[in-house]
Amino acid sequence: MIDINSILNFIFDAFFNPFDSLHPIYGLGAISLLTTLIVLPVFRYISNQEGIKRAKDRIIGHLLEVRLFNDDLRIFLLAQKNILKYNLIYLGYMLKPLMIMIIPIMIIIIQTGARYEYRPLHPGEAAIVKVILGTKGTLSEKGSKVVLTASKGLKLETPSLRVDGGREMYWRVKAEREGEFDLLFQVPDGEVKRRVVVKNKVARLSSLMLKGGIINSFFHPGEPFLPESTTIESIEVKYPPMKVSVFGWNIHWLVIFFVLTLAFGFLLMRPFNVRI
Amino acid sequence: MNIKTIQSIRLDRKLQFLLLFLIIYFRSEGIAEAYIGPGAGFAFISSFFILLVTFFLAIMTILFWPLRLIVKAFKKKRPANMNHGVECVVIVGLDGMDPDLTTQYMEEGKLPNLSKLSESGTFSKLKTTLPAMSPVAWSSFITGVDPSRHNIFDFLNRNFQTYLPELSSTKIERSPRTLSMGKYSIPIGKPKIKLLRKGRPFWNILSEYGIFSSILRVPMTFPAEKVNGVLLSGMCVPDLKGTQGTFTYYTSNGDSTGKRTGGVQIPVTIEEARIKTYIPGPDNNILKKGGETQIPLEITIKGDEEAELKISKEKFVLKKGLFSGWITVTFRPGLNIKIRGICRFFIKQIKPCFEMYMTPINIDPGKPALPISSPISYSIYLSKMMGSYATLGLAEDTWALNERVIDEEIFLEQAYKYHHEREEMFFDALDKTRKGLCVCVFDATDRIQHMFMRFMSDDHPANNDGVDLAKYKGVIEDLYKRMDCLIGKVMEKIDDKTILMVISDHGFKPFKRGVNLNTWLYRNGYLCLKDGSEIGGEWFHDVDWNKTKAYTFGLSGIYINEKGRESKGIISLEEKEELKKELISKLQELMDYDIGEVAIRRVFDSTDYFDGPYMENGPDLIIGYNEGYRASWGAAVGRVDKEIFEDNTKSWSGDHCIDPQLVPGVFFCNRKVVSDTPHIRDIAPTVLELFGTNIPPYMSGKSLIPSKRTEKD
Repeated sequence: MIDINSILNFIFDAFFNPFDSLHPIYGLGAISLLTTLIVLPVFRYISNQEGIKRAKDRIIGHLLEVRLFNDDLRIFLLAQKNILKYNLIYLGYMLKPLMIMIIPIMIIIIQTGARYEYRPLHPGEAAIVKVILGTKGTLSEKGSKVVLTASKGLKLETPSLRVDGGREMYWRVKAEREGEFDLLFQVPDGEVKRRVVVKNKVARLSSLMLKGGIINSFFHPGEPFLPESTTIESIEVKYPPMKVSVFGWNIHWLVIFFVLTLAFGFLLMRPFNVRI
Repeated sequence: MNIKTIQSIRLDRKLQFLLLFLIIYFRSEGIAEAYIGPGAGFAFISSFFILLVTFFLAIMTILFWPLRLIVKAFKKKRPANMNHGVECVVIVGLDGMDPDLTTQYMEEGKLPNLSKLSESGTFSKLKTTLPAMSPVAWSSFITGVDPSRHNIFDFLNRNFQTYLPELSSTKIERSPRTLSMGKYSIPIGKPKIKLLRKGRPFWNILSEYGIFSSILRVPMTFPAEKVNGVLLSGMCVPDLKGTQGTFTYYTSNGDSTGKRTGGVQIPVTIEEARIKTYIPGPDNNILKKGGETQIPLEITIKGDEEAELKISKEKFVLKKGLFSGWITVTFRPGLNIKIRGICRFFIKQIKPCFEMYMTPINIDPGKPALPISSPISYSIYLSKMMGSYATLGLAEDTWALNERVIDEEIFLEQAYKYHHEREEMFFDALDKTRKGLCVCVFDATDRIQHMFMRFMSDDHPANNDGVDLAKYKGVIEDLYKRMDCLIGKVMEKIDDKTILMVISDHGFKPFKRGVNLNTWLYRNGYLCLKDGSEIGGEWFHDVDWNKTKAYTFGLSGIYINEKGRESKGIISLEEKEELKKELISKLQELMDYDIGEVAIRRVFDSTDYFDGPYMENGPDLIIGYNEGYRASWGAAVGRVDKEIFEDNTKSWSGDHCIDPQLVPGVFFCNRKVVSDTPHIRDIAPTVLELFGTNIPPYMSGKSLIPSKRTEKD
């Protein structure tokens, strides 16, 4: 899985690289278009196009029925029932493509999210660093400490704050200049490094750093895993959420992705001869 | 590994996949992972939208229901009398159903449902119009008046200026103003589509009383007029080219003649198992230079039994000997204008030469280019509910069979497919019209009798020396049985408060001999040809109008070349009456000496039968041909042939354009009626009477089921 993640990171890094310094809408536009270009032909071949057409036609037919025979309450109610019935049938036709498409689309969404969910810190900005310790053999029981050291370019602004019986620890770090810097966490059973990105560009980030595992690595492709031996369960750097400004409105990246894929889908539906 | 182990591993993998899917799905956070691409996005958004619209419609309908009822109650006229207790009237029109054949089959016990209807109600002959033709008779059915009041005398009418034929039913006029832009001449405004049939349909009178009507495929209802209910036009709806049906025949057989009546033949060549040709479409009205719009058609031959057709970007495989479904074709005359039609393909032969038939391009009911229904959404509704369907008025391709482009089997398959489409829409309409009027006209009876009448008599000249006689002898009997089944299904669906009428506009007789009255007029000095010619081309090509007194075209009329009416008229009004008398005396009982039979039974002077405002548009004399005779194919297109009489060897072997007395229609009703001799004009006043509405005084028909009120009057 690590290898797959590395490959995926490599591919998506290469894809997003030209858009790093541009407004996020460009990168999101490009990935939305790519998604549409992948999804439409696949959707055409794996979905029941005839069934979809039939169900959609029936829905429109029954909607027109309501309009045409609006003096007859019986026809009206039957039409309503049939609209709902064919709506369900229509959704049913989506299940198979949905089951198949979920994996590639998830990969695209996760990889895009790794770049557009959060933005790197800007010089002068501070972020909270949160560490969660494991339950077995916790440091709190032993009374040990987690010592955090920031590399040059980062400044620790606060001492550690422990909550939840010592399982959670918080610091605040401030970015002093652009670059990729390390936070070094020293625990009795070893050292753990965590990257902090300070940039004015789009970058692949994961707010959370977790121990290895198929699912974790799949959902958090921006950071390497914590060593299995360490008692640290997770390290989180609370990057600021990315605000994508479109016509003065700050819109979540996924909304833009959603709208753009729909728009591209709508535009390309006919050239690709796909019925959705 | 044994099989069990392999199976368990497979199962295990499936489980793993399912598990992984579920983990991914349920580990998803927020909306981010709930979105599965544009496909599902569209699906969920449109589903949500549909639910929203449905909900909105439901709320609005329930809220406005009482209000609508109140408004309607105030708006509509109140019926004068409702003492019939009738809630619904269903009229099934079986175009061309013959009373003699019906009686014969009923007596033989082959039509049990019609027999039942006859026993419990009425069965009689239904007098037809003069002349006995579908557009004329159905127009009288619609309006309750004679042809001089509804203006339809034939399929064609003549232009008084040019003597050229014009469609009698509809006139399509382009917008007179255009905008010139480079190579385009863009019409400003829509073309005017004018229904030339005059008079008021009786369902429009019912509309005033708030009575709902479902009118399906009744001839002469194009363009569709507004009605309280739904209407789908029938006979006279043109194809996409604006004709009454033009088929296309693709052939690589160089021997085939290039001329086809009612169709076009496109020669093709096969190169490396591929044919590159085109689909001919409507005229390009927005290009200054005009011309025909076309769609590229590429045919790839795949062995001896099938071929792949590529139309625009769409591909489909068609097996030899099987009809394709309805294929949508989109013509693009320019400026992003699209004209959509539907057609079907049939590969007759692949080797040794390629032969493919394409039906006339019907107007796409899903996106109609012309007003074929009222409201326009009705044709769309039907296409969404039952798929594409034939919209052309004369959809059953009689010309293609007549030209032997298709054979009897293909024709029958086509005719019954269209019949089933109409049955489906009729039963849907019947289901929707629990109160009101439901009318549907079925054409298969007419088209099949036209083409298969020759198999009913051994001596028919079109019998092809008896080939296929046994094979197709039973086709018409089978047709009547199928219609009987249809009526049986209708009877099952109706209740006591429903009046059912089964009618036909005319009957049928064999058409064995053609009579060219232009040749007769020429030989008798009433029609002159230029430069001493002995034969004249189509549409009076060689006629010298300055010396011609009378002429004929179409299927039953003779026209006097009247001074002041026709542009080159030479006969004054005073001379006209004398001339008519002269022609009547000479033509009545005209003998066909080759056979030894009377070819013309009667000649009708139109002034003796008509007195309506449109009388002048009709023929001056109407020919009542004897059984077995009809206007010849040449006379119908204004030709002067060598012979007056000729054998009819065409597949079109039955007809009804003869003396109306010989070809009455049928009238069945599940109630007793007062008249023994009902006329097709009587149906409109009868229906109005049944719903208790006033019968307009201009209607010449009489109610067949009068109420007590009318009886008192």
